[in-house]
Amino acid sequence: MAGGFGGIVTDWQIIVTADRVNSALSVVHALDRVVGLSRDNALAAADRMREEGLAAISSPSQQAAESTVARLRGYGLDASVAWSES
Amino acid sequence: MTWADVMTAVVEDDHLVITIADAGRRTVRSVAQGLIDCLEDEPPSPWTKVGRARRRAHERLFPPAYRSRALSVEFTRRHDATIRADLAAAAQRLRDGLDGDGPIRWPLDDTDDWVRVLGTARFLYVDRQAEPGVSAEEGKASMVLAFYQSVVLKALRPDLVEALPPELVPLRRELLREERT
Repeated sequence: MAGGFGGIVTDWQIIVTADRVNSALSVVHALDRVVGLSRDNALAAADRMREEGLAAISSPSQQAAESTVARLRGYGLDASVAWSES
Repeated sequence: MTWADVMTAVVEDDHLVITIADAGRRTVRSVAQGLIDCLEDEPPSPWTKVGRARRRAHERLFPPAYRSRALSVEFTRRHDATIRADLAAAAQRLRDGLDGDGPIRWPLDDTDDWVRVLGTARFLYVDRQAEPGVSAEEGKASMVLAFYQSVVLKALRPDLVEALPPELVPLRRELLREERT
């Protein structure tokens, strides 16, 4: 979903980076609880983290992305905010 | 004794009922206090050993929120106090709930206190690559917390355990192997 950022259309993303500490079970649980992903989408995100090292989840705005990232950090996940310009 | 004897968790009547050996109870209480200390508003001086250790743990727990250093600083300014206060409150509830003997009954709505504290406290001991900071004992401490967290999550989320494909559950495989020996 796109939002404004300095006059440029921006797609905000929540990036969850894989590490060797958090288990797939804890990652999927946190994505379910915090982001509200369906079980299948949370499993798919965990699989992307295993395959590619990270998973990107769209967010409607920078504020929403930051709020979600803040909560994911409370679960120990390496979550960050990124954007792509279009 | 196997790992499964050290801690068990089952869901009963809107509660998570946790049975944990005395040593495990002391460990979790100590870990919760360690996390509370790490999250306090005014950490000790970075020139002290304790201060340096807490700073390292804090950096492991909260890596930069943006690629941009300036935006990460802004994120910290906006959210860090709330994240730390919220997590410290969960750790305080966990620490206080471990007082007394016998099974621990935790309301299901609040069980993420356990998930979050056990998950985040691992970074008191290891970095994101699971490398211990000072000694091999720290690596073991992290693995024990991972086990406790997995016990809680398996009781809470049997649906996820069933749905996880084998390649996503190396921890579960390790624990099952240990239980068989």
